[in-house]
Amino acid sequence: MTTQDSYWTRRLQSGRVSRRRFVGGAAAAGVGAASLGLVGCGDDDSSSGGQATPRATASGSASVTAAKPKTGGTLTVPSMTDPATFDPYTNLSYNSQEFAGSIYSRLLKPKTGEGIAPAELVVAPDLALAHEIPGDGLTVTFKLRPDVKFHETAPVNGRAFTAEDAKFSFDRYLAMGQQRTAFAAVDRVETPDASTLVFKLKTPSAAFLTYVTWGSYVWIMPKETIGANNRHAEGPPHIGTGPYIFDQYTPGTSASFKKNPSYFLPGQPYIDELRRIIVPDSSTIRANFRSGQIDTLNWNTAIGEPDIDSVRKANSKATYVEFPSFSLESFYFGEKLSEPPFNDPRVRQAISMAIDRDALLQVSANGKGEWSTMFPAKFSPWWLDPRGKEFGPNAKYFKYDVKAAKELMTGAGHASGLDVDLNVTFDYGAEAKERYELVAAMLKDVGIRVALKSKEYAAYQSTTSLGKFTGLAYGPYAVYPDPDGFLATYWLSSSPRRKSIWVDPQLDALITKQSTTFDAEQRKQAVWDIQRHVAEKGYAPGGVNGTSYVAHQPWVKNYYHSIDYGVPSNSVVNAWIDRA
Amino acid sequence: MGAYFLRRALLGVPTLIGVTIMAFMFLRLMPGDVVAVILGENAAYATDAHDLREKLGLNDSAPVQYGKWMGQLATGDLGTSLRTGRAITSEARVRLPVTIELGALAMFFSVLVALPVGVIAAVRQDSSIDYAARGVAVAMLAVPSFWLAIMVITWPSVWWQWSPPVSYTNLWDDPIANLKQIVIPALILGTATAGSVMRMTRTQMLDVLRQDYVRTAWAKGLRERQVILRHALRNAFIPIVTVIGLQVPVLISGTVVLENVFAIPGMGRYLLESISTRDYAVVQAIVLMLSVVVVTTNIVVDAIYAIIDPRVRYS
Repeated sequence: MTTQDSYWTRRLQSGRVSRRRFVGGAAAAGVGAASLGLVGCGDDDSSSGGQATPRATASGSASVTAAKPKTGGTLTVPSMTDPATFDPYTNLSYNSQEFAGSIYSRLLKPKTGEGIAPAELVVAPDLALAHEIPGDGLTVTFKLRPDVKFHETAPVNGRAFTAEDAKFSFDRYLAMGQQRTAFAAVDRVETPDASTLVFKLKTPSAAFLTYVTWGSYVWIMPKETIGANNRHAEGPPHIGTGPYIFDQYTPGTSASFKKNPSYFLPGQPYIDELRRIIVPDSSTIRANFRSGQIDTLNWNTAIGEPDIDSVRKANSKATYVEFPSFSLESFYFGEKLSEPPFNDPRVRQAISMAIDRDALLQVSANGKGEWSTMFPAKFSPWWLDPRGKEFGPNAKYFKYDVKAAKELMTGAGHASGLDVDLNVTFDYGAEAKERYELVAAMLKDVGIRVALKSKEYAAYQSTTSLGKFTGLAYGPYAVYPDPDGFLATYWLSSSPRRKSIWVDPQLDALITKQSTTFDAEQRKQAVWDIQRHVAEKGYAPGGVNGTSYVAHQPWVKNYYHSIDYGVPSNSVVNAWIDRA
Repeated sequence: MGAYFLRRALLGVPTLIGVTIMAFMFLRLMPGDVVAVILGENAAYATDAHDLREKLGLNDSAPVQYGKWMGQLATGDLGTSLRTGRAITSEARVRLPVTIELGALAMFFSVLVALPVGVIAAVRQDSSIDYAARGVAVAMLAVPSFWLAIMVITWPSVWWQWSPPVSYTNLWDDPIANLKQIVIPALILGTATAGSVMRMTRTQMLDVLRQDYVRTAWAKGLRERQVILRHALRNAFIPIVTVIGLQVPVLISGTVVLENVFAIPGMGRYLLESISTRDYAVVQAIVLMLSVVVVTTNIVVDAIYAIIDPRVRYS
């Protein structure tokens, strides 16, 4: 088994990187732009030669890189639902994004390969070969590949991709993309020539390149497939420049994609057909992986700690990659944070200190995992370990301390305790339900007598998840590839998506500082300061991150997992099938 | 008789209109919102949520929405999925035959097992065969089909690295591949209904076997087969057919679970997904379609009465 226990770029800290590699890492972290010239992103990750520097590998090997690639075959991967829509700009669900990831390209993409963890972000070129962010950080220039063609499908018919297509896609995304706030800093997009794309920014954006890279933002789509209402039709044609060409889709059954013979990486992809079969039940997916009908289990169909032993026992030849679950779950207070009793930080701190995070880990992950903050654990280098000495004095709010919590409650005038609702949804599964019940029991120990109120998922989404509830809530947050995604979405006082409503100019200032700081170390310190500040304020007493496993069959070679949605262009494109 | 069935069919129309009103109303009374499902937390952006609501026609008043839906139905258009924007008719065209196939096969297995076992149990009342049949019937009723399905999926994959085919193949494209996938869920689904049919068959047969005309048949020296099949079973059939007809809604609800577990792209799974995402348009349409199936089944059952028992006359 391969154990890859760290997210994101560790290279910046380890000093093991070449200058070219640093550019990629810096881009991923959104740092160092002021010092960059126009630089290449490194070779494609299309071959083993794509590694700009030799990489230290984790224990074990995820796959074979020395063997000669074989062409042909079909890769069968599961998806739990149909694509919600065929327009990836209008729906963030993974099924729509992964469907898009089979067809479309983006400017940059996360690199995969030996030693790169599934959730680690190392930037590699996709449609852009190089990028430049000079001096003031207000201009970002991409040099695009000159040799890219769209799929040979009407009405685009294999015409050449140009900067105009990228501009069209970004303009459309800025107008109606679901995560367009990530690009709020963009003033306009320009195309000085057919292979140059220039972004003019209103303010520097340290996270800009991460958003350009990650596969849930801007897929490059030709304007011919977009209707007059700026919408993509809910059906073919699906035309991009990606490694696979849409073949057919049968609702509830499967979507299949054929190899793009004109893909811009010569000879790739090696696998002729990609089949996404739709299997809604997770136990059925695991059973079919055990029986060999499914070739890979990606992050969205990942195996949790409770099931890994049985899957591994029945299919011991498969490759399993362990990584900390990239998720976030914590308390939130909705609009009630400004009202008693939750407007008193001592009550919020008491809630945090009432939580035995190790016990939560025991329930959900056999004790394997870490404590999250306002960021998922191991979200390196951004996550500040509450158990580490660098967290400082506010780390005490993460410690399980019933006595101190009761004292805080007494100090806040609640010596006799409180009666509140704890809003959750049990639809996240049996493990989540167990965690929520445990959390409720822990709160009772410090005098917060909670009534657990579970809502069915859709009802939860339209009320609790949007901060519309009475009492307390405990549940997941969306996760982002950059700390700015979390901070701008959930913590900036101007964001409508906050799950707890407060006014904290100091926090706003810290968030703004990190979003415009390009120096890696300075930005990391700003993000760490935010975590210390939020811990003291008790805005979102956090939970834990357990362990997840992704896997692939022994006949799938050179396959390196990624939690990015664009798996076909960064994992499948380098893999091949060899059943010999 | 033709006039009778025409009248029955016409009486089904107000029933179906009632179903549309109830489905429309109760769906909208449910907590949750398709806009929040589509936009996720981005539904917090009031403008985005409003625009999407407008686009989906959800800003219209309930009577206007209902009127528009009725207008669509009048033209044979089931509408468009709110969540995916895809035409419900085209989805149904693909999915409905799948569910019908699963349901029909399940019913076939159910009747194939339940009728003979029920008859034998009645004929051999209080024998070991009878006790075994009654025990099995109770077990069939008691074991939830979803549990049975998960066991069938999970344990063979653990013990023998085998699992039922997961990728659905259309019956017309490859009947063998199709049957390989559909037979196991059909057996499981049939199991749930076989228990009821078996018990009803046994009870009715016991009742009929004690009738004078059966005693007369025995006294005439007819062979057992003739007495059982021609005189007893035929007269026991009307309540059995009624029970079989009543199993149709049971089968439909069973497909919701089993299609999900066995990855079969039928209407049951479509319904489940659409309920959980509050896709009102799809749920309404499916409820209506299933209601048509149930109403039609009842009419067909009535017709079968007349075929089984010549004394039954409709006027």
